[in-house]
Amino acid sequence: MNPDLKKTSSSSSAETEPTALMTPMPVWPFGLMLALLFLGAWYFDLYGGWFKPQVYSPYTSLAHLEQFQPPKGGIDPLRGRKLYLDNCAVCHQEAGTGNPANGCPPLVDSEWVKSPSVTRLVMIISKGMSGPVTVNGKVWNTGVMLAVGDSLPGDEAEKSDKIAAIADYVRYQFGKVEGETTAAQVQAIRATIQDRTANFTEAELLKVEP
Amino acid sequence: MTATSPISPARIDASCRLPLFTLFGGAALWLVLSSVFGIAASLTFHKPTLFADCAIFTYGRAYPAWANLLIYGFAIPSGLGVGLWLLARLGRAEVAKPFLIALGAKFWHIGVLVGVIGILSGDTSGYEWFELPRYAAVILFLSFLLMAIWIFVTYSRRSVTELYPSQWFALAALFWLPWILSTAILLLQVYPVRGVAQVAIAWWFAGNLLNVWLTLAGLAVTLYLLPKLTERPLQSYYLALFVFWTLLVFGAWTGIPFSSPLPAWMSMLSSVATGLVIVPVLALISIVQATTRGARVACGGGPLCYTKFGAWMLLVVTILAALAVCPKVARVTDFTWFAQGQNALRIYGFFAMTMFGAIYHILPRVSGVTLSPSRVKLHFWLAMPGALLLALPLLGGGILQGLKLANADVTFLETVKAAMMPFRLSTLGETLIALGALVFLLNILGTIVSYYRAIAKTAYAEATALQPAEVKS
Amino acid sequence: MKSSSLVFLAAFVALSASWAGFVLAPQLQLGRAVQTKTIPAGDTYPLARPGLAQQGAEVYRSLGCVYCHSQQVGQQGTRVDVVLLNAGTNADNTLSAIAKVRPDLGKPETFIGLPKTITTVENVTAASSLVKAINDNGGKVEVNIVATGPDIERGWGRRRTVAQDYVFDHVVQPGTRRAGPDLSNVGARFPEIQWQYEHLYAPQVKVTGSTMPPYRFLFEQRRIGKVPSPEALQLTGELAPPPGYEIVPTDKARALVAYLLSLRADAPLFEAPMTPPPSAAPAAPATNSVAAK
Repeated sequence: MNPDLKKTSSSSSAETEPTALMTPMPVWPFGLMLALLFLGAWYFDLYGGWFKPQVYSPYTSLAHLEQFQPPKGGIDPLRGRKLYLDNCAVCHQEAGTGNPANGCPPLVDSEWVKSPSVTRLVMIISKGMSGPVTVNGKVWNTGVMLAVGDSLPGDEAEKSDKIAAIADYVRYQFGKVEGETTAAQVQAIRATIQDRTANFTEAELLKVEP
Repeated sequence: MTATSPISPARIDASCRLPLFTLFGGAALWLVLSSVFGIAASLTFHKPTLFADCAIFTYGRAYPAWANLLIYGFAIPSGLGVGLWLLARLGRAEVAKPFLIALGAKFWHIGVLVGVIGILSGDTSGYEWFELPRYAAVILFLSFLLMAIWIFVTYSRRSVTELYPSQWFALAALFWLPWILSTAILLLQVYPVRGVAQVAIAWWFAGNLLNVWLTLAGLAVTLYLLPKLTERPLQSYYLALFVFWTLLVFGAWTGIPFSSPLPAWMSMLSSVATGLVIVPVLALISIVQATTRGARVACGGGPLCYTKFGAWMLLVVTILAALAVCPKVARVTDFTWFAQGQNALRIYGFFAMTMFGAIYHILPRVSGVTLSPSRVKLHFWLAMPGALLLALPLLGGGILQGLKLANADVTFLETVKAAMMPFRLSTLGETLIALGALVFLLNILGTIVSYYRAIAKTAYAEATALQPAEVKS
Repeated sequence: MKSSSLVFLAAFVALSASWAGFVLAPQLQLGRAVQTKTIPAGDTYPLARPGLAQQGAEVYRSLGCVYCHSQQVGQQGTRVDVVLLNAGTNADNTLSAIAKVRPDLGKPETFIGLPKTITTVENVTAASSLVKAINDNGGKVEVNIVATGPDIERGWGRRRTVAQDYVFDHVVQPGTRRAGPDLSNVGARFPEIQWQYEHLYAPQVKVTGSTMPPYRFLFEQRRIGKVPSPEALQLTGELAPPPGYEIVPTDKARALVAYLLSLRADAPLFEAPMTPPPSAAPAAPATNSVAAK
């Protein structure tokens, strides 16, 4: 019989509320729970990234993520190249050949680029250059190279870091000079010329230790 | 059993009457309205240009109107009403301040109305399952407190100190909702956190609302009605205790989908928790089986049918949810209709069916009005196939869509088209649910009307019986 | 459990633990995120959206676009391509270095048609020995880090989306459903304003078979003034307005389209590494906002 459908308030007074049997707890729910907990812990250990906020799937840990970072240190072919393409290649061309049409000297095999110290290069990139310049025995009547380094976005540390990357790329790519310039080095060089607003001239630069 | 209790069940039932009429009546009304919006939303996929000039019914508003009416309009009031009755009955205590609870319910319904008008006019908060604008959410929270306080007072007045498992679930539900609701209101709407922390909190809220709160309120009913209707003891107390603890501990961490813009640990932790919820649900099913095994009670489309169907749907949806967070499956099912199919199964298949069963059990008792079994049965045979016909096409269509989404050679439009036929089929399910909801509303309104008619008749009879006496004097 | 305090204790313990995990911890980890630098370019990311686009985000929210459009790109893996840019001073040694990883490429024809991908390796570390071997011989290689997965192959983005992409968003709407395509990078994919207007007005005209509902209520029909509006939609057939009238976007449509055009999340970040294709390097900064004018 189905008690609901005939209930009236009078008969509900005879109702008894259900009781629960106190039979002992079976073991299987605990077993299942422990097995799933174990599986879950194993799974979380594999993919969970251990609560690191930088780790997103498909990366499984900080170490895994770091394996996919763009190469850093040494000559960074990627970063220097991108910055060069963005800031320098308009005149100096992607291949570093310069542009005779607007008097822009080449960088390939240029003695300015191959100079053992990076100082001159940093100075030129920072403040630009104007007036004639001799490259590989030929005089280029450079119009004006703007102060590209100073106009890079970011604060002084970022500018220095980017200039270092550009300098390394230019030296390696066009001068076959390997070397790693740090942002600190560049910052030190830039500190000596920080108040300067005019472009450098060849004569001034030649006074600097090559 | 405490047969010596001085308060008779009839008196307890009578004390529940006013709040329950308000809660259940409103819930049924919102359920009907919600399914109307559900149909409107799904019609957009039959004919995209249908609501091209009508901002109110555009999919992005009709859909949240459906969801919020369903959860805040139907689910929470019906869960609260059933919980109140269970706590009063099991504790053998009359309801404290039924009038204030009914008032809280009225305010709640006003809050839902304000909220849905807000959503339709474009004031949605933008968080899935919590689209209510701030002003509506605050009304809901305050009216919930008003109801919860007096429900708790009712509970603490109990004359039977021994707790039955259903009481744990109802109490935990009573405790759970204000916490998650206040967190959501404060951290998403009043002092919103920044960036994806919003996303994490919104998913935490939705997970706790759908996966924990609905389950707590539903299982309070399941654990009560099954032994009650089969007239057998619950088997067993300790298993129920296990269900309770594990559901709370694991369920609370569910809700963050596999694909999310959140760090891996959040999705992975939530995935593990979603898998672990299988444990309490399997334990529940073993309770259901052990309790009803050998019982000679035909369910016959009555409350028992609803309860058992609900429990099994909970198992199905829990397994589906656990599957859907496995990486290989998630890559197919994420971003498809699959999740929507799960929601339909959970809300319509498990929760609503369980609540219908409980309400059909409770209403005749509190009103003294007999419900026609055939109308209860009719509702069952509309709501049950409706829930399945809504959920299964969405689940299947989701898989079809997902298989194509996972293959970049298939154009995006084809992935959408893959799910289109199943989706259109699901409109039929939504329609059946709407019809069922209409029957539900008529059943409840019928009960309420006959109750008041009977009162009026008695009063009239008394008045007419008194009249000669007055004349005589 | 005989006492109700145990019930409340259970609920309190369970809920407070998950609250700490999924409410408090995300807020501590991500809730205070600020702009960061892209890697390796070092640009600031993301930039705040312009005002009109921010208003558009409100329109996007109010219309519930999120129920069909996700704003999160998934990624299934990461590939590392070693691209040879030039042969260098000692071509023979460069070739023998290449031959160690790709025997079939150890011949002079390899140097035709540079730049060219010579091998795909598991990670950057695995590429380093080859890079060094080629560099030592004066050759030049580029290491390209490429995100993979169907979303990326569909062109929805160049990497997965991460928390950093949403720093300036409110309400953050990553979405969970794709009844329409992902919009994380729609500003980069469909940058034409007029296309966006016409697509919103009549999606089926722009994309045959589209299931997107039209948003005609975001536009108004009005009598053409002395000069036709430059924003007027170019519509033909039955959608065309009557003669003497034009259909123009309302403020809401303008804001919405400004927002859509500001959607761009493809800057390389530490947590989502990738190398942008060289052609994309100059001019447009990869930021989650419209390109600076």
